[in-house]
Amino acid sequence: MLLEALSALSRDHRQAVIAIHVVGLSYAELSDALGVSVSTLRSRTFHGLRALRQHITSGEESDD
Amino acid sequence: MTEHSDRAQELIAAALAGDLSPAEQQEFEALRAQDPSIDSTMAEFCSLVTGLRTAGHQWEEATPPPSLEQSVLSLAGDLSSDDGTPAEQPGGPVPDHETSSADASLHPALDEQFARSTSTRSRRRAAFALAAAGGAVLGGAVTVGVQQIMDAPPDGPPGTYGAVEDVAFDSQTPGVDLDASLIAHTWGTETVLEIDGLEPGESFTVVLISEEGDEYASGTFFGSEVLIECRMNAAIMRDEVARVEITAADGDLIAGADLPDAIDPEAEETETEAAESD
Repeated sequence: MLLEALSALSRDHRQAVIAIHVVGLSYAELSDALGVSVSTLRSRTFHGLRALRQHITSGEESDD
Repeated sequence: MTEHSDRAQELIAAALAGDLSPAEQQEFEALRAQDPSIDSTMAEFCSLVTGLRTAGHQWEEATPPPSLEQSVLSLAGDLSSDDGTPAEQPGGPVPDHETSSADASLHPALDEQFARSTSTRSRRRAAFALAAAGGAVLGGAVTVGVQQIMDAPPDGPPGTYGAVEDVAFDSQTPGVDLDASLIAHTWGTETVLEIDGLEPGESFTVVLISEEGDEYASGTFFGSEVLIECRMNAAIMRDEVARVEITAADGDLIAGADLPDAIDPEAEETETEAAESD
């Protein structure tokens, strides 16, 4: 379900979530790699995690 | 989920990754004091981040079968270029399986960064080791810094600020594997949980109960198929807490523990100072 939820994220949100929480990069490392500000990457990660959670929650509710 | 300001969202994201600077840590603490819903959001993200981290460990520790590798590659597919089509790897094709896994498809710029390492897999393992070292921060409380986590906690009787107090549950639902501890702080009481065997997707609540029977919410989390590691906080001093309970959404008790009496460090300090002045 987690992989499915990841696939439902927007490109930017998925990129940030995977890089930070799966690959284990720091925001500074990701910022250096992408040329995107740390602030923006943090925001993308927050929204990505929120969308992930909503996707998982809605999937579980529809299973009931 | 509660809406947070843009700044609060950024700090929550940073806290989940253990990425707060000391100044940001102070700013975040102030925001949390003003808005308790931040802790709720942190708790809601807790099992999610743990699941992502565990997925990363599983990916790292085992050579994935081709079908899984292809599945992850396809998920990461449009990360590799802005137009959604897979980008060519810098320096041409890389046939080595070690460097052809999901991380190589994140973004061309990331590929270059990974390429600076002699081994992509080693690079990722080191990153995961760092993440594991900061696991408590990832878990959600974000009330202590990475350096503090790396340092040994202080010893002392229950109630000692910073000391880790194991919790012995007197009632526990069969099939649930649970380790818990409490940490007294100047701002309240932190509950540290490692819990497995809860129904995935169901909501659970951690509550600290005073001697008078007043309940203090510590946080909520979802059951998960993976081991959940959570750190939650309640606005009650440890010496006022008599019991900790974990309950399901329908009110069923999952686990409960009566706690031993705890010291009030500030009262102890006052008594010590008075004794020294005599």
